[in-house]
Amino acid sequence: MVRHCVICNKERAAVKRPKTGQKVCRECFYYVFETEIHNTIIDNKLFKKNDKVAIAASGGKDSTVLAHVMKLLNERYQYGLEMFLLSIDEGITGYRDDSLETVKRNQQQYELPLKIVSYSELYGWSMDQIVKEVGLKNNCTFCGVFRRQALDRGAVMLDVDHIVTGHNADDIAETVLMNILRGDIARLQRCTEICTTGDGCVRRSKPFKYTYEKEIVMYAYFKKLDYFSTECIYSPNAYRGHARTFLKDLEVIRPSAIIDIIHSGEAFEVKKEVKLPTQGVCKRCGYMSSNELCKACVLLEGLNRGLPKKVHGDMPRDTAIIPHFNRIQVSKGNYDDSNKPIEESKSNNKIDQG
Amino acid sequence: MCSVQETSLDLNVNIKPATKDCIKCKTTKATVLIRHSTYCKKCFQHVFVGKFRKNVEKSRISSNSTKLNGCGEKVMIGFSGGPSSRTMLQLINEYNETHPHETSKKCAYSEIIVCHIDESVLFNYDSTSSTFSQESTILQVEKIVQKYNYPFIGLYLQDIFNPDVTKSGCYSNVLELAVDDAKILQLEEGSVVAPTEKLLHLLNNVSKSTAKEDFIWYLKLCYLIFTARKNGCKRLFLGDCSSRLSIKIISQTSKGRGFSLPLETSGEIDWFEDVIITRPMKDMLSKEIGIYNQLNGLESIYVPSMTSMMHPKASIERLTEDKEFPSTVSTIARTGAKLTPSDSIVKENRCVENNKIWQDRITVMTIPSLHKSEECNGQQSSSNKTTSRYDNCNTINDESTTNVEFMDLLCYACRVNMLYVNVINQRIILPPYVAEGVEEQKNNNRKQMKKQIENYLLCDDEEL
Repeated sequence: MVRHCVICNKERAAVKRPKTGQKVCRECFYYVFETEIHNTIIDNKLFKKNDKVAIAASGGKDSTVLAHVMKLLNERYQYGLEMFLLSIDEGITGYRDDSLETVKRNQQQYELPLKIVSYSELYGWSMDQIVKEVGLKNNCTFCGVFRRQALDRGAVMLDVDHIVTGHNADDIAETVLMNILRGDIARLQRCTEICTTGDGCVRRSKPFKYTYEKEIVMYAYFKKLDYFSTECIYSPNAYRGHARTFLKDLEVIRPSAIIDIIHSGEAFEVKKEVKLPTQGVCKRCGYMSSNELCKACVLLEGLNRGLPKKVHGDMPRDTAIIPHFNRIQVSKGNYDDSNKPIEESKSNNKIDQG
Repeated sequence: MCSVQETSLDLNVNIKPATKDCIKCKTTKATVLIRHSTYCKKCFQHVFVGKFRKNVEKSRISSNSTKLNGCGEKVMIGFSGGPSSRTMLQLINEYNETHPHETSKKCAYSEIIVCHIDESVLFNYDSTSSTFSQESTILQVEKIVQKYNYPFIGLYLQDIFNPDVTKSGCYSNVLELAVDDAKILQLEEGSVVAPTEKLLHLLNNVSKSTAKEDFIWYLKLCYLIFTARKNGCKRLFLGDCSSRLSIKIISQTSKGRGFSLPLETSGEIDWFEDVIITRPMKDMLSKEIGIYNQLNGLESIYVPSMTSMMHPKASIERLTEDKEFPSTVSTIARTGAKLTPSDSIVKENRCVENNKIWQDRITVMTIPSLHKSEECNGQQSSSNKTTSRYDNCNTINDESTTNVEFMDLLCYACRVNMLYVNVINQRIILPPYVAEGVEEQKNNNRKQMKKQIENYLLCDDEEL
C-alpha cells in the first residue's frame, strides 16, 4: 500500500522526518524545512533590509545547504540581502584545499561573490605548520580559536553587517551538554543565543539553530547539492565526540531530545550571586576577550616564542607586539581597515566576482 | 528518593601508594579514598556528617529569619529505603537529638514524619488474580523506621487517584483525555475501577519508557508534597545525593526541563510555597554514602526503578545513568547549583507556562495554507494541532476543556510527554489533582478576564 504524505495527503511519502517522525513527501519536506528556517530568521529579527551578509562557507554540508537556503529564502521572501561567501583557509593539505574547491564550485552555482582568508596570511602560521609544532593533541584549540577571529577579519574585509554560520541544532545541543559537563556556566548562558554581538565585532547568527543535522543531510541529498564530506585529517575533537555520541543515543530514544536540550539551554537562568567573567577587549588586537589578551593572541604568542605547549595562562607584559595585530585599530565599533596593505597585495584576497 | 545502587561497598579501596595517612588528622592510617583524598574512618565520618550539618543548618537559618524563632518546624522525610535516604534518616535523627549550636535544649524540628511511597504496583501486576509478584516495600521500610520512633506513613503510588490527594482534600473529579478533548469527569460512585487499574491503564498507554518514568516521578513527587501539606509539614527532606543530582541535571536537560531544573536539583527550594523542599544530601557522592552506611551498619532496601536492569537505551534516564562522563560528578552538580528558576515563570502546580508559540514556529507540522487561507491566523489556530493525531476538529462544548487548553497548562516537557500518551482508542484518566489544577487555572483565567472588564459590568454577580 502506498503511504501518503501526512501533510498534503496527495503525494507518496518519501521520508520520515527525523524531527517529528512524520512521513512526508519531498515537496512537503522542502516546504517545512525552508519555512522553519524562515520562521527562525523572522522571529529573531536576524536581518534588516539591504544588509550585507557573509555566509561562512566551508564546503561541508551545513554551509552548502545554508548558502542554498539563504539564497532561496532571500528571493522567495524578499529579504533584500546582499550575500557573499566567506571561506577560511586553515592550510590543511588534503582536507581544506579539496573542500575549497567545492566552495569555488558553489560560488559559481549560486552566483555569489567569494572571499577566502587564510591562516598563514592572518597569523603567519598554517595549520600544517602548527600541527608540526604542537602535535596532534591541542591542535583543534588553535584551529577553533583562530577560525573565529579569521571569520570576523574576513567579514571586515568584505565590509558586511552580518555573518551567518551553518551551526545546526545538533551542534548547539552538543555544546549545551558539553558546557554542563565542563561546568562552564558563562558559556552555558551564551551558547544558545541565536545571534551574538560584541563591541567591534560583526553580528553573527545561526539560522540553522533549530534545524536537525539529519534533515540538512536529507535536504542536500534530495536536492543533490554539491558538498564535501570528509572529516578533518587532524583528529576530531575528543571531548565533543563524547557529547556527540551521547546526543545521538538520546535522539534514538526520543527524537525531540535535540530541540528539548536547546529549549532547556535557553531556559537556564544563572543565579544573580554567581560571578560571571566580564567581557572586555584584548589589549593587543582589540578583539573581544574575557582576559587581558584574547585567546588567539595568547596562542600566537606561544607559537612565535616556541612555547606551543603552553596553551593556558596569560602572557608576560613585555612580549613583543605581533606586527600584524598592531595594525588593527578599533574605531567606531568596527575595525578600521583603511591602511592595510596585506589585503591588497595578496592575490587570493581579492573578491572573485563569479 | 535516591535509587542509585552502590554496587561496590568495598572498604579496602586500593590506595596508591600502599599506605597513606589520613589527610585530615595526619596521624592515623587512611582506609577510605574519596576523590584523591584519603581519610581514616573517624575523619571520614566527621567530614561526612559535617557536610550534612552544613546544609541543614543553612536551611534552618534561612527559614528562621523569615518567621520569628519558633520551636522548630514540623518536617517530613521522603524515605525510599535506598542508601541515600537511609543515611539521611539517620543523620536527621542525630541532628535533632543533639544540637550543638544552641544552648537551650530546643529540638531543631518539632516533629518528624517519615513517608514512603510503595511502587510495587509497577512491577509484574497480575490483573487476573490482583496480586503482585513483588512484595510491597512498606513492611521492610516500616521495620527500619520503627527504630527511630517517628510516625510512619506508608503510601501506595496508585492511591494518587484518591480524592484526598488534592489541594482541597476532597476533589473527586478526574481528568479524562481523549482524542479530541480533555474532560473533567465526575466519577460515579458505582464505578469500581480500582486505583491500581487506573494507574496501570494510564502507564500502559504511555508508549515510551522515558515519558513513563517522567510520569511516575511526578506522580510520586506530587504525592509526597500533598502528603506533607496534609500533615502540616513545612519542610520535605529528599535524599538526592550528588551523584543522583548530576544524573538528573543531564537527563532533565535532555528532556527539555531547563525551566524547572533548578526546582528539582537545588539544595533548597520554596517553589511549592507552603512546603519547602530540602536536599541535605546534595554534596555527598553515592560512594561516600555507601561507605558511611557500611561503617555504621545502616541497612537499606533495594528499590528497583522501572528501567533497572534494562538496556541502557531504554530511556533517557537510564542512558544518563549508564554513561560515564569524563567530568566529575561534582562539576555537573555545581553547574546545576548555579541555576535558578527564571522570574518569568508563572506559578502553577507542576508545569510552567512558557512561550507556547515557540514550538510550533520552529517545528512546522502542517502547511497553513492547506487548512486556512490566511497564513497568520492559520498559524494561531492550526498550531492547535499539537500533533497530527489531534487532527480532528475540536468540538468545543461547555463542559469540556479542549485538549489544546489542557496542553496550554502544561510546561514544555510535559507537553512532549503527552505526545507519547496513546489516546486513539483509549480514554486515559489522569488523577484528581491534575483535574483540580486545570479547573483552578480555568477559574483564574475567568477571574483575570473579569478583572479586566470589571468597571464595565453592570451587575455584580459572582458567577464565574
